Amino acid sequence: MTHDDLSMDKAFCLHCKHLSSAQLHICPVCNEPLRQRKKNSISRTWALSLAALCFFIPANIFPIMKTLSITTYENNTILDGVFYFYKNGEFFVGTVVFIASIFIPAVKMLVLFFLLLSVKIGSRWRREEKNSLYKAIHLIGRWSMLDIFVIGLMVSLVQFGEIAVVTTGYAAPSFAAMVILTLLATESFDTRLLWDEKGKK
Amino acid sequence: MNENDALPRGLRKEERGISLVWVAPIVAILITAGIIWESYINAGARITIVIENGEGIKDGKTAIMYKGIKIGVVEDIRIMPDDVSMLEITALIDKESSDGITREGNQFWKVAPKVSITEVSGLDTIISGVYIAVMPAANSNEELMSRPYQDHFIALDSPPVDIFDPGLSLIVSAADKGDVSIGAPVLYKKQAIGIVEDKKLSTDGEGVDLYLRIQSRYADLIHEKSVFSKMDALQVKASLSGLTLKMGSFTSFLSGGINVSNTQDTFASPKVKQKQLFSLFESFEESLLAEDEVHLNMKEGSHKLEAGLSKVYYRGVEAGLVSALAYDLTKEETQVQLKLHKEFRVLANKKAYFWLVEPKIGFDHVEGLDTIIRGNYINFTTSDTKAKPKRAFTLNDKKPQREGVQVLLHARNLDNIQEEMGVFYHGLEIGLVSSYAISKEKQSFIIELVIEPQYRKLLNASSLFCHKSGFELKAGLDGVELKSGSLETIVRGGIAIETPNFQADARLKKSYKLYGSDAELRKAEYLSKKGIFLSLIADKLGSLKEGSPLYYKQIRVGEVVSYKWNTQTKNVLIDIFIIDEYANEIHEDTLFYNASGLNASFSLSGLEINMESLETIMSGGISFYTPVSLEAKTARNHEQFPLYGSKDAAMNQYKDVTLYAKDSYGLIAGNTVMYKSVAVGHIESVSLNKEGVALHLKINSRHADLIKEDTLFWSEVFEVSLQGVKNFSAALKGTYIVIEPGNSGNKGEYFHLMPKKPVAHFKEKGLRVVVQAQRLGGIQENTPLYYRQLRIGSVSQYRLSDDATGVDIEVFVEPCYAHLVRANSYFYNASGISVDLSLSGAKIETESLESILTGGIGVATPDDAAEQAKDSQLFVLHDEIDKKALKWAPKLYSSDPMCE
Repeated sequence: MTHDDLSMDKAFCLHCKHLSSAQLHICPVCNEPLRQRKKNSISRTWALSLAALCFFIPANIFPIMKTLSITTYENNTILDGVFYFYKNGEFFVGTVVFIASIFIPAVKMLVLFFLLLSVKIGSRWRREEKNSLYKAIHLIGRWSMLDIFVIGLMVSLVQFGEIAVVTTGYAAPSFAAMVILTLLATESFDTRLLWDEKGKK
Repeated sequence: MNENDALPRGLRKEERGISLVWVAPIVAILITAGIIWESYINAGARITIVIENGEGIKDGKTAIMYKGIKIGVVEDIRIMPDDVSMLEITALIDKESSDGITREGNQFWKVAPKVSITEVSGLDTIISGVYIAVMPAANSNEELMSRPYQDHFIALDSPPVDIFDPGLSLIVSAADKGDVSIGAPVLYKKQAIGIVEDKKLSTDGEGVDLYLRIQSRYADLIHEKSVFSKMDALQVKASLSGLTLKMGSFTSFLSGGINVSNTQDTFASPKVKQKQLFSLFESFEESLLAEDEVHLNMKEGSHKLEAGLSKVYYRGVEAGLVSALAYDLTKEETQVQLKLHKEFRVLANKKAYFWLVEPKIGFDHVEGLDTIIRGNYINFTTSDTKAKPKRAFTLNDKKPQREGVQVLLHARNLDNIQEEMGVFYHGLEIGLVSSYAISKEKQSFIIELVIEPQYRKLLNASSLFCHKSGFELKAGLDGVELKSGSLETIVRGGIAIETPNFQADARLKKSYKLYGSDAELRKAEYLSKKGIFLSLIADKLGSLKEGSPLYYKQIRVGEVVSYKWNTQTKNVLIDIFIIDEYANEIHEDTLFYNASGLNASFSLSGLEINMESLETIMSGGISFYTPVSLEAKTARNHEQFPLYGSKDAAMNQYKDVTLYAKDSYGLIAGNTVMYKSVAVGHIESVSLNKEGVALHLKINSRHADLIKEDTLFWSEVFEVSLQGVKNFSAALKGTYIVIEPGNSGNKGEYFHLMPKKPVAHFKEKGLRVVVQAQRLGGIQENTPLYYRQLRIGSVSQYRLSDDATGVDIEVFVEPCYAHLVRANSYFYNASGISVDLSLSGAKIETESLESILTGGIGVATPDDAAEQAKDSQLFVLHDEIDKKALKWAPKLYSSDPMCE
């Protein structure tokens, strides 16, 4: 009848962060239902992470930016951009772009899957470090949208008619969707699950 | 009721089963799949193109273009696995276009910027990079779609024929390829209307077939009679009127080109079909040439013609060219082949005459000047354009004889008469010299003229002919006039015709004399009139010469025919001719005089110039004067008359007078001799003799009475001194001689010339006394002598006294007053004014107003008058009058009855 995993009689309101008695069921401050864990956390995280992973593929294989100018007609994938910077000696910028656009989304998804699997098997191994990992991806995940901002700016600014026009490729919406989905997936993961005993809910 | 539902919301057991959140990955998968499908599987058709040169092609960037629109992109380029010399391109064609592109027969070629001297194309690719263009196999969609599927193509080297504008294909056969290269333009009025697509040796190997493609929109310009000729990249046309340098387009200069020309009748000819055959001409001019050749042969002479270059003219119009030259060794003649223009071909007929034009330049003769630039050429003409055409002709080296009226001239001297010289009537060329020959007698030349028939009426029996040189110089007072004919006549000269009488017999004389010059002709013209001849005897010829005019009342009535030296009489005999109508004016007593030059007389009253005519100034002339006398008979032919040197000499008789002088005082021949300011004669000549100068005067016989034994002659010279200007008129007229006639009854001939006017009252009757003064004071010659303030004489001269203690003044007293001067008369200086100041007032006394200015001498005779003073008696000149003298009042009476 009672939840095994409610180890304590206190409940932390996920909405207003007010700690109140678990018996109340409803947060006395913000009137939100009190929950011990995020709703459907594992399932949602799985679904969103997988969706993000789906978008990761077109985001990287299709051109993110199409440049049309009188001299050139170019389709650039994200990796093309990275290579471009490296080729031109801009290692720092190339690295930033690579980390922000490819490495971080990929790492985020990997971390999420790792955490999900950890919860699944109920591993108790290095739970603190896992928590830190989560905090890290939660913190840096939003910066991945930088790419989209840059492209958005480029597309809106570089509209010089015959001389140069920049348009977005398939990768851009895919990339944006991927970043949003990883953010949502990260958000939907409840780190407290890492501490829950396996089979002991 | 479910137990779980009863629980508070936060504690409710999580729902099992599939959560709605799983829609997200499903959607994600669907979208991704969709993108991949769109991008790869459904992207369009992939084709492979084999190309020889992949320069500039970049995978992912190089576009496949159709009519300037991108329809695909090169995905990959690599070396063909089985042929390393070729490249294989994989291109992705957009889905919309892929159906049409993957059809058999479509053609692909690479468009790269091509900048060569002959062509600039694909400039857009400089910026955009090369691209691959595609030309569909058919120009309609259905036709294209009905073709079988193909996705492997071999690219072309050069752009294919535009399927949408296939144009008109023509084959032009040329003798050789020439300078026309593939891609060379086909031009019509310098507008490119097509290109040379290909060239091949013709099947018979005789020439080259050029395959032209004319753009469809210009296809209507090509008719069966259109002329295809090689473009003249550089055209140089030179003639006397200028040099034209024409250059075709730069392209044609380098790659050659084909010109299409249409003439008027071209458009009437039917239009052409595809693959129509044409032949290519070397030039447009060549296309106008008739096909058959005209043969000329020339026996001798160098022709200096050049095959292909030398032109043939028909009356100055270019009518063809020399196509070939050959020398026939057996016949020893030059054979010239001509190609005439079609329209001129018929003119080379039985009546045609061909001759060679080459430059002939001499000082007197220039011909064929144009050939210097054009080169020698052949001219031809025909007298009958309707005659039957002929093929073989003789090439002459002379112009054809002109048709017209023949006129024969004879001349002693041929001068510069040449064949082809013009014959001019008042500057109008009416014919020419056709030939000349030595006459049978070997004494003269016979010159044959041909006068154009329409000018026949200008000639008759009275016509005169003279040799005309280019320049005629006429000099007159109004300037020098240089008259020249046309440049041609300057160089060539010519023959001038003058017909003085159009009423004369219209028939031509058998032969005319050719006069050597215009002047000769004029003379002949003159002498052809009726008149009489007279002989004039003159001391010298003067400026007279043959042709000098004879004037009567300033009308030209005749002229000098000839002159000769008469050895017996030692004078010149001048034969003159007078026209009949004036002959009656010559009487026995007619005076002839030389009217040469001009006669100017100059006086204070003005300048007077007399001359017969301008002509006489230059060439001399004779005039005559016939006194009115009824009895005198008119002159006979060849009667002799004296010729006077001037009109003056003829009209007046003179008395000769000779003067001797130490100096000529500036007198020269021609100076006048004056008496009372009237000219009575002139100095004929001035000569030197032992003592000095001898002046020979001519005194007009009317004034001969003035010359007596004791006549005085002195010279009047213009003098300027403080005392005044003397003889101003001599300044203008020159020094002249004045005579003072004597009273002697005897005539004289030899006289002495006094240098100046003798003293006043010289030789006049009267009393001459000498007054001695210490100083001359204001006394001069003519200073008056007063007696009671009345002028009774004057100072005639003065000089220093012999001992130099004073001045001796000779005073002349007029005869009627001579009795007033007595031996005891008192002379005083009456010059100036005496002013007497006293308490009662001022008193001014003077002898006369004149004496204030010129001074004067007064004389007073005391009451006890002595006897009358004698000539040369001495008196003393007192400086002041004695008061007593004023009161003297002797009663004196003249003894001379003339003075009453």
